[in-house]
Amino acid sequence: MTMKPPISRRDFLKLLALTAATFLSKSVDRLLFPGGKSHSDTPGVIILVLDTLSALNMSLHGYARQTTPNMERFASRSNVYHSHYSTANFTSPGTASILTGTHPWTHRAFHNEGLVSAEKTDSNLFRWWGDDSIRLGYTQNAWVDLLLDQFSSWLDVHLNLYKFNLNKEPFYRKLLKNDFSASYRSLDSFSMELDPNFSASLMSALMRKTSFYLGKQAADREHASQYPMGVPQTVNDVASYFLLEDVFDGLMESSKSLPPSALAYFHLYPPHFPYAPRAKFMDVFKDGWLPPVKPTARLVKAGDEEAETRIVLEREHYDAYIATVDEDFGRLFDFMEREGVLEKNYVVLTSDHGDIYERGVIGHTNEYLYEPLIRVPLIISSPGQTSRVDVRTPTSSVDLAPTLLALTGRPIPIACEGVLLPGLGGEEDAQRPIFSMDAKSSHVRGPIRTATLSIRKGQFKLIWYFGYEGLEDGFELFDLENDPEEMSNLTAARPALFSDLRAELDAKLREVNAPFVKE
Amino acid sequence: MSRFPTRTDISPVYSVIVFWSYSYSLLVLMFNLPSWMLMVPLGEILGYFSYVLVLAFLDTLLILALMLGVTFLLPRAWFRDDFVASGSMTAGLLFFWITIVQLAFGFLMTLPVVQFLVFILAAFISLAVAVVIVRRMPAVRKFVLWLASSTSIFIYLYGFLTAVSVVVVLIRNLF
Repeated sequence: MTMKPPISRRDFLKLLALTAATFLSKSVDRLLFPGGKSHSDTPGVIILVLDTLSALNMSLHGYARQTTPNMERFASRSNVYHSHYSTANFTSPGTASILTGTHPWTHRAFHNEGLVSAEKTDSNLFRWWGDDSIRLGYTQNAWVDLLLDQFSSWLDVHLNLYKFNLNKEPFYRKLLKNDFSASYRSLDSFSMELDPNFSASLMSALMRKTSFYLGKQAADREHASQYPMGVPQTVNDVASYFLLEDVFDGLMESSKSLPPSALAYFHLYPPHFPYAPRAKFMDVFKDGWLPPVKPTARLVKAGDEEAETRIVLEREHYDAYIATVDEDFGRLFDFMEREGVLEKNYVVLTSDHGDIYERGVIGHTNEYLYEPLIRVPLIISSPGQTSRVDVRTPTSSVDLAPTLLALTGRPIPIACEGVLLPGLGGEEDAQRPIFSMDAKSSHVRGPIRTATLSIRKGQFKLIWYFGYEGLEDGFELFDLENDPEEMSNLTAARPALFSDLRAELDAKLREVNAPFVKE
Repeated sequence: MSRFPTRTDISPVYSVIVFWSYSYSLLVLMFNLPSWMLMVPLGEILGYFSYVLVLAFLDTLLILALMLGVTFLLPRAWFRDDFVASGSMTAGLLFFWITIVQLAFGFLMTLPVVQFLVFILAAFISLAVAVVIVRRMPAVRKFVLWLASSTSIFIYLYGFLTAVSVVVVLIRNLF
């Protein structure tokens, strides 16, 4: 005779699952937000940075192609900054400026994989936010993760870069998390780098490349009907691929469970290259439209220009990818409206830098500071805001940190180099100088000797190229009001203006180099 | 009898593996030094150096394990006997092929399956031919054995650096 057990195996498993679910539902907030910090009487801030989103490719800012209808819906209840500038033309310095409120010459993260200098690390938005409410950071971009890792002492929650990915974090990442930047730079980015260069390791790099390739290929095949160019992925040495909808779903979940008065920083990789538009946007911009033909970029040698057909095609893909991201942003916006997130938080949409598809140049791994590379969106929705406010005065990414601190009743640290944004406590000042910089070839602990600097003042912008090997130093002066496409260099036609702006830029360079120049 | 070579036979082959793996890693590291020196202090670069050496060490173990696996699977007369000469030759050629695959990885992955298999087959045939040559041609054999013997110094040199690197990596991650 067999005894029937009091509980079957199937029932036992169900009970186990139910117990686990109950435990998780009760403690997910505690797990996500240890300490249960909250500060219910001031609004929170959610910053969404979309990597490499040029304002000039957004229909919101007048682009010929309808790339951002959903961001326009968000803008209809927000402050829209039409002349907002990143301090730099690539991720590390642009992001560091957002998070520290300082220019690249101050935070010194102006190299690929750059870090904020050790003596400036404690000057960051997370620290200034204070520890009486939750501070969360998440990014898909490894270079941004290096910065978040630097600020990890002031982050309550640092979500894993792989959290919303299709592929899992490699095992060694967990083992080496206490020495993230050094292990990333020496292993992921060097010994086992994925790019088709010389990896310092032969066997491990080959295994990593093969594993990434096979996994990505399988994902591409599985989702080919939705993503005909392959599923979205990151570059810069993190083997990471994902579905955009998963990432935005993750953001919804994370933003919904934020306690009051939290600071959340989300930095997504798209629409950064490699472009992975959804099928529905693949042919939308095959419309024959072409931007005006512009002079070749200053540092491009004759014969080195990218082929025009490739430039046109890459721009189409970039625009289609922006539209794809915009579609998911629309879902996020609807969710935030529905769930009341917009009523309780300042919600910021911006980017760290732009991209260029003209002048014989593609992308942003270059030395240029033309408008497509540094003009980025800045849209800020205040709690309960219902109408749109357009601000056309030039503003800088260093203004964001002080503005958000002031808006939430926090003091503005003296280390901040930005000012309050117009319409959110600040005054419009058209004559305020706005600076951007690219100095990848300069030493982080020395004076800036090789760089491109730009100053925007009023309607004019001066770009200064200096120190490049084999190339003469030079200037480009543009009247952005009458020549928004930067077609005519006015250095010869407007000598007095050129001289004034040049003197101001030169004075700024001397000032920032002074601490590094021996008497 | 054991299908694996003796420790005395493994040692010179391993020294060839060590020589290739570490030398390659350090050579590539030298090319990257200028860009690192622009942004991080020397002490930090030594930390990176430690990671690179530890990974190079793991690479040598992987390749040695691969070769011992092959030795185990193949008939003794093919590879196990005269392991020093055959193994040293194979190790050198294997590094050559891995370098080629790394450099042409993107291109290789776009090849049709048949062409890709032909490439892999060509690599294996070259390894087999190399083993035959080293056995049949005394001059080549003598040279390979000399190389294996000469590179044995690198086990001690790189071994010491690796031991220090392992300690550095452990300290950086534990404290």
